[in-house]
Amino acid sequence: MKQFRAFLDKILQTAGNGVLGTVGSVSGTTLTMNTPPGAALVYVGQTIQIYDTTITTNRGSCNVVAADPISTTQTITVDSLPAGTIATDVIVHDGLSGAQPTSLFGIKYHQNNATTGTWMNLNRATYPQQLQTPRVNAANSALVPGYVRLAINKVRKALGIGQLGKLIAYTSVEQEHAWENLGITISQVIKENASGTANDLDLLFSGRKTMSGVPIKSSINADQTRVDFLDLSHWGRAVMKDIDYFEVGDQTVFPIYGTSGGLSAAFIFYFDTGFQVFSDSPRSGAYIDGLARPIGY
Amino acid sequence: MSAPWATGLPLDNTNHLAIRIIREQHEAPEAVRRRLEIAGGRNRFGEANYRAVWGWSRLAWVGGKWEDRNSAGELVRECVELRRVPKYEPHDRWHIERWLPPEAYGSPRAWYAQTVERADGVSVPALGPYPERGEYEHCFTLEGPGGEFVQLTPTVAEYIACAIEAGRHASAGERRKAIEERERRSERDYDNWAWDVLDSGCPAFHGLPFVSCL
Repeated sequence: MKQFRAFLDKILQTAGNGVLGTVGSVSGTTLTMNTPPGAALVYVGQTIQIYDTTITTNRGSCNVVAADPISTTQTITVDSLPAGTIATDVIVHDGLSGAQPTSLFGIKYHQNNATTGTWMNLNRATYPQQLQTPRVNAANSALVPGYVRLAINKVRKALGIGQLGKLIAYTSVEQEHAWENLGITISQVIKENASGTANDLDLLFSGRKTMSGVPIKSSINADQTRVDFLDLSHWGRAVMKDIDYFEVGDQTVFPIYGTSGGLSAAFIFYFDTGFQVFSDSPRSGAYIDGLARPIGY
Repeated sequence: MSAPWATGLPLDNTNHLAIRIIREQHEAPEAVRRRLEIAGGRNRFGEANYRAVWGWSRLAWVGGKWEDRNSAGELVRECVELRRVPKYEPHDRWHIERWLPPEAYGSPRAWYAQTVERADGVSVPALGPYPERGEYEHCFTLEGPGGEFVQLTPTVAEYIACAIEAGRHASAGERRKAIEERERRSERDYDNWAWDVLDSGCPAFHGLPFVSCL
């Protein structure tokens, strides 16, 4: 269950094409990944496919045997590298096929300021303003309150003063840390206690950490250089099948057959679900990208 | 259209009708100001590092292209200019702010490079002029866990300022460790919840037969 949840969360960080990362360099079977997202969106044991940079040519698939999303090098090691893999290639999750595949529409799909291409079957060029999410380009500088105010003000100007919805600031733990380093929020250090349970402010008010008044929601899988301001009242899931164990005639656990054709000493079960993620108002949010990562990451 | 002086409305020297926007405004009580000053000290300009502001009263510059509409939603005019509008949401809550020095905003050149926007051939700084004397930034919104109103009192204000100041003394490493610990706990809590939900769909004793014991 944990693995399944983590996988869905990782895909939801992407731009709807299933790209989990970009190869920075190749050394044997070890790939050094470009940050963002580095090696954060892959996990050990995962089957991945390698595509060329235009996501047109599928070079083949392999299995991840090691992944290091913590150190600054951000490497992954695979069992056997598909022939022709080079730097600038991209890693795509298993199950996709053909050129420019479609996966779950993640945050970067909906929160995008492009004016060409399509968005949920609408031509962006036909509605260049309406489909554009306001963007602030930090140009590899550190997070400062000015960027946050710029982003929020862009939404207010796009929708009208007083029309701002209830936003959340969705970001990585790195950028939450960068915000804490400014010293204008109640640090997590104060909110934690020795027993490892939340020691939220023991008063009659909320101890929520905010970014210029917008509650922060951070994730280990979020893009390390972005802050996305999301109005979740405009987001939803179109569910075709609720998540559950895959079931055939009340059976949810299945035997595995060995190469001889006989039963192997193993069982297998599946989680399955069918859904797509949508937003009905890309202008109701904003994002800051190109943020520098704090020292130590 | 009748002349402005005939309507009894005030005139300014640009011959436009002066429009006064009425908002619910409040000032923080003196006792709160004093406690915040004691808790957080003063900045290089002799002003308190912390202050409490009412959402409707705290205005900030926002520059860009504005669309003004009438009550029917029809576009009346478009203009590119700087306006002072409420800085924080929600407007009907107290907010605690902390002063940040001008260097926290980079150089004036970097400020204008980052914030100037062009609309209809006019350049306007989206966040107003460079904050030469620093600026107060949002730290905390006083509201209940469900977002309900919470009254500003000297004790609450002082507590928040002290909590922020205490956190400022932690090292970057300690901050990182605390955030990572919270993430671990959050993962653990979710896993426990998810397994509980999955288990609740199973029959009692996970389907093992009941045996009568005499």
